[in-house]
Amino acid sequence: MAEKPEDLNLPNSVIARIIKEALPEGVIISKESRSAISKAASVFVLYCTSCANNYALQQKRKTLKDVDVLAALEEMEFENFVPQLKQFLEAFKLEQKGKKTALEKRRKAKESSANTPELTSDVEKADAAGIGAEMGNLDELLVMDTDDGANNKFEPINSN
Amino acid sequence: MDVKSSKPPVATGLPMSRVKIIMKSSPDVDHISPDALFAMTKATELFVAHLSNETFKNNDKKGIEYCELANVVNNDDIFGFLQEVIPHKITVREYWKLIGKVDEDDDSEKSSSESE
Repeated sequence: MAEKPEDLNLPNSVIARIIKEALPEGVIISKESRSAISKAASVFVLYCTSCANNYALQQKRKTLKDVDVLAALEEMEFENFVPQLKQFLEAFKLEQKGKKTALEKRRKAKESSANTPELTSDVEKADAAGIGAEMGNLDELLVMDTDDGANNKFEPINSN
Repeated sequence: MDVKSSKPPVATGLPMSRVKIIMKSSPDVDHISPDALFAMTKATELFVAHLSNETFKNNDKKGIEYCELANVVNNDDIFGFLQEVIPHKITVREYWKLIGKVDEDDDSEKSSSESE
Protein backbone atom coordinates (compact mmCIF):
# COMPACT_ATOMS: atom_id res chain seq x y z
CA MET A 1 0.00 0.00 0.00
CA ALA A 2 0.98 3.59 -0.34
CA GLU A 3 2.86 4.71 2.74
CA LYS A 4 4.39 7.90 1.43
CA PRO A 5 2.67 10.41 -0.83
CA GLU A 6 5.57 10.02 -3.28
CA ASP A 7 4.47 6.43 -3.78
CA LEU A 8 1.54 7.73 -5.78
CA ASN A 9 3.79 9.42 -8.30
CA LEU A 10 5.07 7.68 -11.36
CA PRO A 11 8.82 7.71 -12.01
CA ASN A 12 9.73 10.96 -13.75
CA SER A 13 12.44 9.43 -15.91
CA VAL A 14 10.03 6.95 -17.47
CA ILE A 15 7.42 9.64 -18.08
CA ALA A 16 10.06 11.81 -19.71
CA ARG A 17 11.07 8.93 -21.97
CA ILE A 18 7.49 8.20 -23.02
CA ILE A 19 6.90 11.87 -23.84
CA LYS A 20 10.13 12.03 -25.78
CA GLU A 21 9.21 8.95 -27.79
CA ALA A 22 5.75 10.33 -28.54
CA LEU A 23 6.98 13.64 -29.90
CA PRO A 24 9.17 14.37 -32.89
CA GLU A 25 12.83 14.89 -32.16
CA GLY A 26 14.07 18.20 -30.88
CA VAL A 27 10.94 19.14 -28.96
CA ILE A 28 11.73 20.62 -25.60
CA ILE A 29 9.49 19.84 -22.66
CA SER A 30 9.65 22.22 -19.75
CA LYS A 31 10.21 20.70 -16.32
CA GLU A 32 6.91 22.15 -15.16
CA SER A 33 4.89 20.52 -17.88
CA ARG A 34 6.70 17.21 -17.40
CA SER A 35 5.77 17.04 -13.73
CA ALA A 36 2.24 18.16 -14.60
CA ILE A 37 1.94 15.33 -17.14
CA SER A 38 3.29 12.90 -14.55
CA LYS A 39 0.66 14.02 -12.06
CA ALA A 40 -1.96 13.80 -14.78
CA ALA A 41 -0.93 10.20 -15.43
CA SER A 42 -1.38 9.34 -11.75
CA VAL A 43 -4.81 10.91 -11.74
CA PHE A 44 -5.63 9.09 -14.95
CA VAL A 45 -4.82 5.77 -13.27
CA LEU A 46 -7.02 6.64 -10.31
CA TYR A 47 -9.92 7.84 -12.45
CA CYS A 48 -9.71 4.86 -14.75
CA THR A 49 -9.50 2.51 -11.77
CA SER A 50 -12.62 3.92 -10.22
CA CYS A 51 -14.49 3.71 -13.55
CA ALA A 52 -13.30 0.14 -14.03
CA ASN A 53 -14.27 -0.73 -10.50
CA ASN A 54 -17.76 0.63 -11.03
CA TYR A 55 -18.07 -1.50 -14.12
CA ALA A 56 -16.83 -4.58 -12.23
CA LEU A 57 -19.34 -3.93 -9.45
CA GLN A 58 -22.11 -3.69 -12.06
CA GLN A 59 -21.11 -7.14 -13.25
CA LYS A 60 -21.07 -8.27 -9.60
CA ARG A 61 -17.40 -9.05 -9.57
CA LYS A 62 -14.88 -8.05 -6.95
CA THR A 63 -11.79 -8.56 -9.06
CA LEU A 64 -10.82 -6.00 -11.66
CA LYS A 65 -10.34 -7.62 -15.04
CA ASP A 66 -8.95 -6.40 -18.31
CA VAL A 67 -12.48 -6.04 -19.74
CA ASP A 68 -13.28 -3.59 -16.95
CA VAL A 69 -10.30 -1.45 -17.87
CA LEU A 70 -11.32 -1.48 -21.53
CA ALA A 71 -14.90 -0.57 -20.62
CA ALA A 72 -13.64 2.22 -18.37
CA LEU A 73 -11.54 3.62 -21.21
CA GLU A 74 -14.55 3.64 -23.45
CA GLU A 75 -16.55 5.43 -20.80
CA MET A 76 -13.79 8.01 -20.42
CA GLU A 77 -13.89 8.59 -24.19
CA PHE A 78 -10.42 7.18 -24.69
CA GLU A 79 -11.85 4.50 -26.96
CA ASN A 80 -9.09 5.16 -29.50
CA PHE A 81 -6.73 3.37 -27.10
CA VAL A 82 -8.82 0.23 -27.07
CA PRO A 83 -7.75 -1.50 -30.31
CA GLN A 84 -4.07 -0.93 -29.56
CA LEU A 85 -4.54 -2.07 -26.00
CA LYS A 86 -6.28 -5.22 -27.17
CA GLN A 87 -3.25 -6.10 -29.28
CA PHE A 88 -0.94 -5.52 -26.32
CA LEU A 89 -3.20 -7.63 -24.14
CA GLU A 90 -3.20 -10.48 -26.61
CA ALA A 91 0.58 -10.48 -26.68
CA PHE A 92 0.70 -10.26 -22.92
CA LYS A 93 -1.69 -13.18 -22.46
CA LEU A 94 0.27 -15.25 -24.95
CA GLU A 95 3.45 -14.55 -23.05
CA GLN A 96 1.85 -15.37 -19.73
CA LYS A 97 0.59 -18.62 -21.22
CA GLY A 98 4.05 -19.36 -22.56
CA LYS A 99 5.54 -18.70 -19.16
CA LYS A 100 2.99 -20.95 -17.53
CA THR A 101 3.62 -23.83 -19.88
CA ALA A 102 7.36 -23.33 -19.53
CA LEU A 103 6.96 -23.46 -15.77
CA GLU A 104 4.84 -26.59 -16.00
CA LYS A 105 7.37 -28.18 -18.31
CA ARG A 106 10.14 -27.34 -15.91
CA ARG A 107 8.16 -28.70 -13.00
CA LYS A 108 7.40 -31.87 -14.92
CA ALA A 109 11.06 -32.19 -15.86
CA LYS A 110 11.96 -31.71 -12.22
CA GLU A 111 9.46 -34.33 -11.13
CA SER A 112 10.64 -36.80 -13.69
CA SER A 113 14.25 -36.13 -12.79
CA ALA A 114 13.31 -36.66 -9.16
CA ASN A 115 11.68 -39.94 -10.14
CA THR A 116 14.45 -41.24 -12.35
CA PRO A 117 17.09 -41.66 -9.61
CA GLU A 118 14.72 -43.96 -7.76
CA LEU A 119 14.07 -45.84 -10.94
CA THR A 120 17.73 -46.19 -11.74
CA SER A 121 18.49 -47.28 -8.22
CA ASP A 122 15.73 -49.87 -8.47
CA VAL A 123 17.10 -51.03 -11.76
CA GLU A 124 20.53 -51.17 -10.27
CA LYS A 125 19.26 -53.15 -7.34
CA ALA A 126 17.47 -55.51 -9.66
CA ASP A 127 20.54 -55.78 -11.80
CA ALA A 128 22.71 -56.36 -8.81
CA ALA A 129 20.37 -59.05 -7.57
CA GLY A 130 20.37 -60.64 -10.98
CA ILE A 131 24.11 -60.53 -11.18
CA GLY A 132 24.35 -61.97 -7.69
CA ALA A 133 22.03 -64.76 -8.66
CA GLU A 134 24.05 -65.42 -11.73
CA MET A 135 27.19 -65.40 -9.71
CA GLY A 136 25.63 -67.85 -7.32
CA ASN A 137 24.75 -70.05 -10.26
CA LEU A 138 28.25 -69.71 -11.58
CA ASP A 139 29.67 -70.76 -8.25
CA GLU A 140 27.45 -73.77 -8.23
CA LEU A 141 28.43 -74.54 -11.78
CA LEU A 142 32.05 -74.20 -10.86
CA VAL A 143 31.55 -76.42 -7.88
CA MET A 144 29.78 -78.87 -10.06
CA ASP A 145 32.57 -78.62 -12.51
CA THR A 146 35.13 -79.28 -9.85
CA ASP A 147 33.04 -82.12 -8.55
CA ASP A 148 32.74 -83.53 -12.00
CA GLY A 149 36.30 -82.90 -12.89
CA ALA A 150 37.74 -84.25 -9.69
CA ASN A 151 39.88 -86.49 -11.70
CA ASN A 152 40.95 -83.68 -13.99
CA LYS A 153 43.90 -81.51 -13.39
CA PHE A 154 41.74 -78.48 -12.68
CA GLU A 155 42.27 -77.02 -9.28
CA PRO A 156 39.06 -76.09 -7.43
CA ILE A 157 38.49 -72.34 -7.56
CA ASN A 158 37.32 -72.26 -3.97
CA SER A 159 40.83 -72.88 -2.79
CA ASN A 160 41.87 -69.59 -4.30
CA MET B 1 3.09 -10.58 -32.90
CA ASP B 2 5.54 -10.88 -35.74
CA VAL B 3 4.48 -7.48 -37.05
CA LYS B 4 5.71 -5.77 -33.93
CA SER B 5 8.81 -7.86 -33.56
CA SER B 6 11.02 -4.80 -33.76
CA LYS B 7 9.72 -3.66 -30.39
CA PRO B 8 8.70 -6.15 -27.73
CA PRO B 9 5.06 -5.28 -27.15
CA VAL B 10 4.80 -6.84 -23.73
CA ALA B 11 7.45 -4.87 -21.89
CA THR B 12 5.98 -1.90 -20.06
CA GLY B 13 8.00 1.24 -19.51
CA LEU B 14 6.11 2.22 -16.40
CA PRO B 15 6.59 0.01 -13.35
CA MET B 16 3.52 -2.18 -12.89
CA SER B 17 4.17 -2.31 -9.13
CA ARG B 18 3.77 1.44 -8.86
CA VAL B 19 0.63 1.43 -10.96
CA LYS B 20 -0.74 -1.26 -8.68
CA ILE B 21 -0.01 0.87 -5.60
CA ILE B 22 -1.90 3.76 -7.16
CA MET B 23 -4.82 1.51 -8.10
CA LYS B 24 -4.95 0.01 -4.63
CA SER B 25 -5.02 3.44 -3.06
CA SER B 26 -8.55 3.67 -4.38
CA PRO B 27 -10.60 2.59 -1.36
CA ASP B 28 -13.06 0.15 -2.89
CA VAL B 29 -10.70 -1.89 -5.03
CA ASP B 30 -10.16 -5.38 -3.71
CA HIS B 31 -8.38 -7.52 -6.24
CA ILE B 32 -6.72 -6.66 -9.49
CA SER B 33 -6.07 -9.34 -12.06
CA PRO B 34 -2.64 -9.29 -13.75
CA ASP B 35 -4.33 -8.64 -17.10
CA ALA B 36 -6.11 -5.59 -15.71
CA LEU B 37 -2.88 -4.28 -14.21
CA PHE B 38 -1.09 -4.72 -17.49
CA ALA B 39 -3.92 -3.04 -19.40
CA MET B 40 -3.90 -0.11 -17.00
CA THR B 41 -0.14 0.34 -17.24
CA LYS B 42 -0.23 0.29 -21.02
CA ALA B 43 -3.24 2.59 -21.08
CA THR B 44 -1.37 5.07 -18.91
CA GLU B 45 1.56 5.01 -21.30
CA LEU B 46 -0.80 5.64 -24.20
CA PHE B 47 -2.44 8.42 -22.24
CA VAL B 48 0.86 10.18 -21.55
CA ALA B 49 1.78 9.95 -25.22
CA HIS B 50 -1.68 11.19 -26.25
CA LEU B 51 -1.65 14.14 -23.88
CA SER B 52 1.78 15.30 -24.97
CA ASN B 53 0.89 14.82 -28.62
CA GLU B 54 -2.30 16.84 -28.27
CA THR B 55 -0.40 19.61 -26.55
CA PHE B 56 2.25 19.61 -29.24
CA LYS B 57 -0.31 19.70 -32.02
CA ASN B 58 -2.10 22.67 -30.54
CA ASN B 59 0.85 25.02 -30.47
CA ASP B 60 3.34 26.04 -33.09
CA LYS B 61 6.32 26.46 -30.82
CA LYS B 62 9.17 24.04 -30.52
CA GLY B 63 8.50 23.03 -26.97
CA ILE B 64 5.77 22.18 -24.52
CA GLU B 65 5.11 24.79 -21.88
CA TYR B 66 2.79 24.52 -18.95
CA CYS B 67 0.34 27.10 -20.18
CA GLU B 68 -0.22 25.22 -23.44
CA LEU B 69 -0.78 22.06 -21.49
CA ALA B 70 -3.33 23.87 -19.34
CA ASN B 71 -5.00 25.19 -22.48
CA VAL B 72 -5.40 21.72 -23.91
CA VAL B 73 -6.64 20.27 -20.66
CA ASN B 74 -9.19 23.02 -20.17
CA ASN B 75 -10.40 23.08 -23.76
CA ASP B 76 -10.68 19.40 -24.53
CA ASP B 77 -13.59 17.63 -22.91
CA ILE B 78 -11.92 14.25 -22.60
CA PHE B 79 -9.30 15.79 -20.30
CA GLY B 80 -12.00 17.26 -18.13
CA PHE B 81 -11.02 15.15 -15.17
CA LEU B 82 -7.63 16.89 -15.15
CA GLN B 83 -8.94 20.42 -14.81
CA GLU B 84 -8.11 20.52 -11.13
CA VAL B 85 -4.74 18.86 -11.60
CA ILE B 86 -3.54 21.13 -14.39
CA PRO B 87 -5.37 24.46 -13.95
CA HIS B 88 -4.62 27.65 -15.78
CA LYS B 89 -1.96 29.74 -14.15
CA ILE B 90 -3.28 32.87 -12.55
CA THR B 91 -1.53 35.89 -11.15
CA VAL B 92 -1.57 36.70 -7.46
CA ARG B 93 -3.73 39.72 -8.22
CA GLU B 94 -6.28 37.47 -9.94
CA TYR B 95 -6.07 35.07 -7.04
CA TRP B 96 -6.85 37.77 -4.50
CA LYS B 97 -9.68 38.94 -6.70
CA LEU B 98 -11.04 35.41 -6.75
CA ILE B 99 -10.76 35.14 -2.98
CA GLY B 100 -12.30 38.56 -2.51
CA LYS B 101 -15.12 37.68 -4.84
CA VAL B 102 -15.83 34.51 -2.93
CA ASP B 103 -15.70 36.44 0.34
CA GLU B 104 -18.18 38.91 -1.02
CA ASP B 105 -20.45 36.01 -1.79
CA ASP B 106 -20.41 35.48 2.01
CA ASP B 107 -19.47 31.86 1.59
CA SER B 108 -16.67 31.48 4.11
CA GLU B 109 -16.39 27.73 3.65
CA LYS B 110 -15.86 28.10 -0.05
CA SER B 111 -13.18 30.71 0.44
CA SER B 112 -11.22 28.46 2.78
CA SER B 113 -11.35 25.61 0.32
CA GLU B 114 -10.33 27.91 -2.53
CA SER B 115 -7.34 29.23 -0.64
CA GLU B 116 -5.96 25.77 0.02
